[in-house]
Amino acid sequence: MSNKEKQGASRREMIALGSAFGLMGLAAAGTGGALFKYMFPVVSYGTPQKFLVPIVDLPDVGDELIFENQKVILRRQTKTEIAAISLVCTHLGCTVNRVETGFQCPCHGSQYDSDGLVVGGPAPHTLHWLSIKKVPGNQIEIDSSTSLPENSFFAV
Amino acid sequence: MNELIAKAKELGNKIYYSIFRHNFDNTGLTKSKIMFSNVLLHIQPVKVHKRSLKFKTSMGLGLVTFYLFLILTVTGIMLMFYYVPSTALGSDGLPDAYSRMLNLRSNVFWGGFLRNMHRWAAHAMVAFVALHMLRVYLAGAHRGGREFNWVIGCILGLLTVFLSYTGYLLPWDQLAFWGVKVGTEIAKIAPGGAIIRGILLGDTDVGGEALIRFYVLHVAVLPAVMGLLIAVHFFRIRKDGGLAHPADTSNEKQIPSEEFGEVKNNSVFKSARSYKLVEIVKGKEPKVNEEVDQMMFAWPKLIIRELIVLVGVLGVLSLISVLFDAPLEGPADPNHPTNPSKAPWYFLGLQELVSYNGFIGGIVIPGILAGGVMVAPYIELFLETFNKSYRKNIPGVWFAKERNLENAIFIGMYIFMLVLIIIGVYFRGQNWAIVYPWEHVAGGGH
Repeated sequence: MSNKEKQGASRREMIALGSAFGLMGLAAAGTGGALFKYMFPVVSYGTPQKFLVPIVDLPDVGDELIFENQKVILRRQTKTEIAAISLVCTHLGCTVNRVETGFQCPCHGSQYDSDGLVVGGPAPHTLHWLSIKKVPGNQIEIDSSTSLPENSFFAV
Repeated sequence: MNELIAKAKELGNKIYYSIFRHNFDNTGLTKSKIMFSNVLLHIQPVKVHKRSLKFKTSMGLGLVTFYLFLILTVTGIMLMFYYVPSTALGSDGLPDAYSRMLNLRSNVFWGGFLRNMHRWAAHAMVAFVALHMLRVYLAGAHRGGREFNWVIGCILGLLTVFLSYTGYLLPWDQLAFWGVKVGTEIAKIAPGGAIIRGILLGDTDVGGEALIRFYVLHVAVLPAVMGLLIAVHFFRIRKDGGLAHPADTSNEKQIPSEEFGEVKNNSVFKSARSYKLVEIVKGKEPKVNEEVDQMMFAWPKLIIRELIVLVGVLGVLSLISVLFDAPLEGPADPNHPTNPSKAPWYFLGLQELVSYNGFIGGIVIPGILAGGVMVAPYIELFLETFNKSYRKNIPGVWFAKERNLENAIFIGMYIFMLVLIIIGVYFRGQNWAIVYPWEHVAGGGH
């Protein structure tokens, strides 16, 4: 009898403790989750990832044009073929410099040929080639967040 | 008249005792009271072992690190009066944060000196944390019940590095920008690192949001965590009975009091801890062995030694801050990394590693080193528990013979990092190519 009572008491205690800690845990988890979401802003005010270039401003055949703020190099292969290559090093995100042999990263010494293929240094893969879209108003739109394989040319 | 003077004296006494509650005579009671009635002093015991006062025991490395933290707190708060964490371009065409640096250097009285002091103290703190850790390990002071305090110390070391890292973004110069850029790209390689990077940067790339976040971390979050953990670190040392000492001290030589100058001790309990009967925290009986004879009052010998170290640190740091200006590169230019683009010296070992491979050099090796060091005492505990012949619990002994292998591994690790740092600082030039130090070009690496 007394033993049973004891069991009942301990069960009651367990339920009370369990629900108390459970509720506190729920509250903590909810707060934690909300704070986690709080740390990620919904809107970014940084540099836009897509940008427009008027077709009249495109370089001549065989020439290149560097967009410093967007870290993109635009190349015209033939009269109708253009390509955009990202200047962001695939190793750790430094901006590579255009040199005669291709591209070179000053931070950790990655070397690329002029098509962005890795020829030396720690870079894990080719510089990203970017997607280009023709948009109304005789402009092209370059999306610097894309990563296409090398020799991805687009028609103008 | 005499009565008036007597009354004034009485009032003076009352005021004095309302503040201090003790005299400054040489009785043991007073020396005890000085220590335990002062909130700043009472983290230290009334009586300390003479061994603890000797230079070779601790070399004062932890103390110097703590003083540097205090100096960094004070100079950091002073700098906050002028600093603005904003990348908005001002009328001079420079980001606000950067022009505040120029302003501090040219238009603020003592501004340059305080910034120099803050920067050099930060560098020194990283170095002294490393030295302190080396000392603790080589003296086996991470064992003998202090294993968890070693872990806390390791967390404090990581916090120190992270404080330096968040701190050097704030000037928003080239070093700052590219250091953070590369650092957060390394974070991206780690599993789950993209989320951490997102929380740190608050944007898709390093920019104004990142500056504010690093600022808040640097001036509020990290120092608060650090202060708390320092308190835990010290408290545990105190509760573990002061600095680590050999388990068997019966053969230890008595250290004569004369080594510490004239020791005035009028205590009736000349050789005992004055609180021995009321504060037996550990064990079943008060200490009555040879250890007791080696105890001496912390006031004034210990306190004076600590103050001398403080004056020394302040003096050396002031001299360096007068002679050498803290580096400031050109304003952050997200389109043009400097060439070469070097991190501060304590990260150059890491930068050297990632220049071979981003994942292995940036995540795997540093992770194994940091994690391995942090759990080192527990690895020893584990081996001891399962292998009775492994007896490496020898606290408080410098270069214990039984620990030769462990010590060699630990020193080897330090040499490994040091060599990488030296290569990074002196042998890396444009495009991170190997150069000789005399061809060394400017560009980061401060």
